[in-house]
Amino acid sequence: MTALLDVLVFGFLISSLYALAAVGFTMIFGVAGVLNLSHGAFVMLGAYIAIWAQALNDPTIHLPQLGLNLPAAFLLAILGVAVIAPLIYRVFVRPVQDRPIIVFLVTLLLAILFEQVAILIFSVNPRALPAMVGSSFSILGTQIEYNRLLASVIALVAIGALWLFVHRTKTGKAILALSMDRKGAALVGINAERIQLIVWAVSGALAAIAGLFMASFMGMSPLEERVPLVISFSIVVLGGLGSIPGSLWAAYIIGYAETIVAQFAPEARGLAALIFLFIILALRPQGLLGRKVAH
Amino acid sequence: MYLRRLYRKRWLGIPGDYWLLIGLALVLLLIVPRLATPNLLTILILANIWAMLAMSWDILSGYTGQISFGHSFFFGIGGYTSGLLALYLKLSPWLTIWLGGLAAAIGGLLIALPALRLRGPYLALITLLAALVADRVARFLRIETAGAEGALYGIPPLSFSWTDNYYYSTGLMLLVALFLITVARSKMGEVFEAIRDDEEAAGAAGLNTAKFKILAFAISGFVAGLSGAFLAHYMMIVSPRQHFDLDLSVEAIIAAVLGGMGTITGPIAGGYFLVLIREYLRPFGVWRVFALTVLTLLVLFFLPRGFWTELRIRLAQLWTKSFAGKRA
Repeated sequence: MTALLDVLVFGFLISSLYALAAVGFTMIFGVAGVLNLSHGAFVMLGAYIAIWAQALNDPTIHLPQLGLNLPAAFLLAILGVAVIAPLIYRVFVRPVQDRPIIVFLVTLLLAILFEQVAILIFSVNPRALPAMVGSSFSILGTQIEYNRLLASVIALVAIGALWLFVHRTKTGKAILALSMDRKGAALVGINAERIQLIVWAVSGALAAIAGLFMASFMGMSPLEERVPLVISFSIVVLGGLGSIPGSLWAAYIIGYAETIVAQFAPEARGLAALIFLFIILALRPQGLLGRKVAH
Repeated sequence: MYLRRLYRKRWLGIPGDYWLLIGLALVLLLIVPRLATPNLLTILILANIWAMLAMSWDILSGYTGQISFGHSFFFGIGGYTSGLLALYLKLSPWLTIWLGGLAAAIGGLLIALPALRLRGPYLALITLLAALVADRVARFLRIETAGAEGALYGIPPLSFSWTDNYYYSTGLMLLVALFLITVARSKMGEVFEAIRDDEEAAGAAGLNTAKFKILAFAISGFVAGLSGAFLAHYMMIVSPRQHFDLDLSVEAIIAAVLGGMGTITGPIAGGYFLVLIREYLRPFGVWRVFALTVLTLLVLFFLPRGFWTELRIRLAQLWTKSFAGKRA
C-alpha cells in the first residue's frame, strides 16, 4: 500500500515537472517547426542562475556573487531564462530557420556551449538548491516533503496559467493559430515574428521553473541537461509534436511509467520508457494526440 | 553550383576526388611515418577512426539527408560484436572487425525499417533512442570478464606496435574513403542526393526511395561499425562510455559539418581537424570543447559548406582565374 501511494505521489510530482519542461518544447515546435535541442540547456540554465544568485562567498563559483534570498533568486532565474531564450532565437535560430538540419545542429551546439560555460563557472560536480520550505508530513506512512508539495502546486499553477494564456488572451490565440496554419495566420494579420519571440520567452520561463525544482530535489550538473532534453523530446513525440494537451497527457504517462519502473525494477530504470517510446514511434509516428500535418 | 562543377572536374581522366585520395595516401603512408613522433602517430590513429565515423555519418545524413543523432549506435554495435567474437570465439581480429561492420549494417537495417515512416525530428529521435537503448542494454552485460558497467577488457589487438596500427588504420580509412567516394559518385549516390533534395519528387520520378534509404542506412552502419570495431581492438577495451556515448554521435556531426557535409573528403578533413585539436588542446581542459563548439558554430554560420569544401572552391576559382583566363 505504501509503495503504491509512493508511486502515486512522486509520479505526480515528477510528471508535473516533466510537463513544464515539455510544454515549452512543443510550443516552439508548434509555432515555427523548430526543434530546439538547447531546451535541456534552458532547464539547466534556470537551475544554475538560481544557484549562483543565492550563493554568497562560495569560492567554487567563479563569478561575483549576490547572495539573494531564495524567492528572489528563483524569480531572477525565471526572468533570466525568459530573456536569454528569445535572444537565442533572434541571434542564432532566426537566420537559419528555414533549414531544419542547420537548426538541429545550431541548437545542439548551443546546448554544448551552455554545458561548457556552466562547467567553467560551476565545475562538473552536481549542485543542489536548498528547499524552499523545510520539513514534511506523512499520509498513510508515505513521507511527503512540503517542498515537493509546493513544487507540484507551482507546476500546476504554471500549467493552468499557460492554459488560460493560450485560450483566453489574444496573444495566446495567435499562438494557437500560428501552430495550426502559418499561412492562414499571416493572412489574418498575425505578426509571426513577435509571436515567436513571446513563445521562446514563455518556453524559457517554464523550462527554468522545471530546472529550479529538479535542482532542489535531485541536484543538477552541467552535463545533465541532456536528461530533460531527452525526456521533453520523448514526451513531445509521444503526445504529438506541437500539441500542447498531447504533451501534458504524455508527460504524466512517461512520468508515471518511470516512477513505477524505478519503484519495482530499479535496474531497468530509463530503459522501459525508451523502449515504450520506440514502439509508439514505430506504430503511431504522429503521437497520441498529434494530427497529420498537411504539407 | 561550384561544388557540382568541382565534382565533374577530371585531370588525366581521373576525377578530382580520387586525386585527392591518392595525394592523401602518399602523404599519410610515405611522408608522415618518417617525420611524425610516436605521440603524433597515436593521435593520427584516432584521427583515422574518427574520419571513418564522420564519413559514415556523411553518406547517410550529408548525402541522403536522413539526419542521424545516434551514430554511436552503429559504432558501439561494431565494437561489441568484434570484441565479443574475438574474446569468446577466439576468432582473428582481422575477421571480426568486418563481422562487426556487418553486424552494424544489420543494425542499420533494423533502424531503417521504422525510420522509413519517419522524417525529420522523428527520425532524429529514433536514432537517438536507439543509441540510448543500446547504451543501457550494454550496461546489463554480466559476463565474467565484463568489468563494471558492461565494459569488456583484454580484447586481442591487431598488433601491439603503434606503427603497425597506424598503417592499418590509415589503410582502412583510405579503403573506406575509396568505397564511399565511389558509392557517392555512382548512380546510387545520385539517388541519395535526389532523396535529400526532394524525397517526394524522387519518388514521383519512379525511384524506389525506401530501397535506397535502407541501403544508405546499411552502408553507413557498416562503415561506422568498422570504425568502432577498429577502436575496440586498438584500445583493447569496449565500454558503453567509449562506444555508445552521445558525445561520439555529436563529434561525428561536428567533424562532418566542419569539413563540409555531403562531400566524403570534407568529413576526413573534419575528423582529422577535430581529433588533432582535441588531443593537442588537452592541457586546456574544458576550454578545448568550448573552443571547438564555438568554431563549429562559426563555420556553420560563415562557411556553411565547411572549411574543406570552401578551400577547394576558392582554389578552383583561383586556378580558373589565373590559367584558364589566359587560354581564352
